[in-house]
Amino acid sequence: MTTTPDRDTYWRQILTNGTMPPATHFLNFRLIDLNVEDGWCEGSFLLAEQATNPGGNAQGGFITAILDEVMSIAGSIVQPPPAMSPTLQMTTSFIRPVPVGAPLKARGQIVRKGRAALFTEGWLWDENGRLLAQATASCVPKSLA
Amino acid sequence: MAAQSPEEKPIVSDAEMLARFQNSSKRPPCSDTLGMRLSEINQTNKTIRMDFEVPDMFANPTGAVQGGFIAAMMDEAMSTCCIIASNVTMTAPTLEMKTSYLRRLMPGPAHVEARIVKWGRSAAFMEAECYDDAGKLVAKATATAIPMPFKRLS
Repeated sequence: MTTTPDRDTYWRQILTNGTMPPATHFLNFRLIDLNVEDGWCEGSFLLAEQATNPGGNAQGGFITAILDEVMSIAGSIVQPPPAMSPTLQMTTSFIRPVPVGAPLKARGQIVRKGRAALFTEGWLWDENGRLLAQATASCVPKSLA
Repeated sequence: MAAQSPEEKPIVSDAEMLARFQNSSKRPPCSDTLGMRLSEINQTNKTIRMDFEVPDMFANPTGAVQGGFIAAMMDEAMSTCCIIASNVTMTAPTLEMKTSYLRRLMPGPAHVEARIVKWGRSAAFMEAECYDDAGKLVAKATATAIPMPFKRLS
C-alpha cells in the first residue's frame, strides 16, 4: 500500500506530465489542485469551437465529458495507484448555457468510497464562479497494478 | 418573428425530412466533430437513428471512448428527435441527462437510436441507446428537455 505522500506525488506527476490522453487533451484540461485523502480534484478547461451546438453554446455531451474527467480523477486518486474508476452511470444537470472558448473550472469529489463502488459528484463554473452544470455518478474501483 | 406551430406547418414525408437534415447548410460544429450522419427518421413513432464515426481524439487512457463523448452522441440524437417531433418548429435544450455505460466503445463507427417518450407543452422526455459497430448495446440514456420555439425570421 502506498503512503499518502507517494500517492499524492504519483497523481500530480501523472496529471501534469504533459502526456494527456486524447479526450483530456481535447478538453484542454489543466490541473488546479487535488487531494488524495479527501478525494477531490479541481481543473481548468476550455472547450474548442468544435463543441458548439446550434444555439452557439457547448453541446451537453461535451459538458458531461468535462465533469467525467474530474469525477473520474477523484475516483482514481483515492485508490492505490495505478488505478482508474470506470463510470457505470452518470447524471448531468445543465443549469446554465456553457460557453465555448472561455475558461471553465470544474471540481470532482468522492461522496463515498466503498470496496465495490465509488460515488462521485461534480460541478462546473464559469470564470465568475457561476454554477453552469452539476453531476453525480456511480463508478467501480479498478486497480491496474 | 412568431414561430409556426406544428399544426400550421405542412407535414413532409420522412424521406423529405431526412433529406432536409442531411443537406442542411446550418450544421453545427458539434455534429461534424462527432462525425454525425442522420440516417433514419420516423415522424409517426418519433424515432431517429444517427450514425457516427467517433474520432481517436475522444479516447480515454485505456483507448476507449471517454463516456462524455458517448453522452454527446446520444444528446445529439435526442435533441434532433425533439426538433423533428415539433415538425422543426421548436428546439429543446436538455435540462438533465442520465447515462448508463454498459460496455466500452472503441473509436470508429457507432450508431444511436433515439425516441421521444413524451412530447408535452412544457416538458419533453427522451430515451436513447448507443450501439457499437458489431451491434452490441454500449450505453443507454434518458433525458428531459424544455421545448422552445425557434427564433426565426420568416
